[in-house]
Amino acid sequence: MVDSKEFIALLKRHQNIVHKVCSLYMDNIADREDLFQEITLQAWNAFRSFRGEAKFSTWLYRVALNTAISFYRKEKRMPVFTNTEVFPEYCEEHNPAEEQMQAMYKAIESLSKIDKALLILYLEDYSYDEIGNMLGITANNVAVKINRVKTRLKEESKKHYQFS
Amino acid sequence: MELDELKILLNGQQTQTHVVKSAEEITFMLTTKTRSITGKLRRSLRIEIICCYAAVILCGAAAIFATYRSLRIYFAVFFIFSLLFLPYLYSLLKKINQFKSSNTLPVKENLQSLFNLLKTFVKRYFQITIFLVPACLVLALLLGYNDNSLQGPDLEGLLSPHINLDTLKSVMVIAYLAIFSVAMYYFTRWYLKKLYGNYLDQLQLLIKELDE
Repeated sequence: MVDSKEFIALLKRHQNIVHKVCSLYMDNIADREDLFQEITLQAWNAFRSFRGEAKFSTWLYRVALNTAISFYRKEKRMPVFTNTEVFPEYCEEHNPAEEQMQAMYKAIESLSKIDKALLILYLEDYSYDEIGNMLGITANNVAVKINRVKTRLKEESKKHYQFS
Repeated sequence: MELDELKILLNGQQTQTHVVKSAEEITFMLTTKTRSITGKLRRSLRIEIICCYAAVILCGAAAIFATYRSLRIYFAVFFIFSLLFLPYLYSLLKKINQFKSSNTLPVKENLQSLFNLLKTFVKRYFQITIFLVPACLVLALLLGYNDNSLQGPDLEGLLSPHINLDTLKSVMVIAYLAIFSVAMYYFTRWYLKKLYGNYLDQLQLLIKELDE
């Protein structure tokens, strides 16, 4: 029998991971809540297979990313909110550094689901081998993709920075 | 700004911007209904299994108690079909239940398993529907035609003497069969595409992106 108390305690401790993934993949609070709930359920369903061979945080990242990437919702006609929860929000004052950062966040929003997964794992300091294991691709492929993401973000953030 | 600069900046700030979930909230989430596509398939299959049991009971009862012999044969055939269909539905449900822990697989493997599972489900669903529609119609027509106790309305007096009633009936039956079957074919294709087609396309794109 899988201990739900143990699972809840672990998830409570590592919920930051789920929040990060939800904020990265969903652009409004309602969808983020839905995804959080779905990741929690999927993690609970898979918890019996968790043997403790990997760190719980790594295991949770894998479940969360799998759920977020395969999460399907019909397109709803809802206003798109700027994502301010995934990354810190800044004040309205004119500050070039902050504006550049906001432009970067906007550029991140335009990435594909796979690129977002690569990005979040890269930002979390996982090695290319670990990222490759999580995504099911080679470390070389990870390196190539990360480089493409970096170039794309640089170009996209420039565009957003020019408009801001 | 470049990605590595952002990484350094984010590592420097440990600001928590989200609302922390309590143990009670997490406990409640464990009791809610899943919104995943496999959850949707599971629910759909459970409904189909219930419908199949209902069909077994109703067709069985009709096969015993129907007044006309042709109707008894018709329902007996579908009683057998429904009985044979049940283990198949259970095997599909078992496959979907086994999929529950696939979220711990690498992303690419998980997407491929999900894609294969969904594709098999859609393919079988389509094949069964396409087989059952003409089978029902042809069986009903054959049995009705051979059942001497069934009498249709007398049309002889209503038609011009130049029109052969048997030819007219055959043309109408063939036209009805053709139109109904073609309409069902396109309707089923549209319906499955609407339900799962777009999602399948999305999965295929994600797998392709990982392969590139």
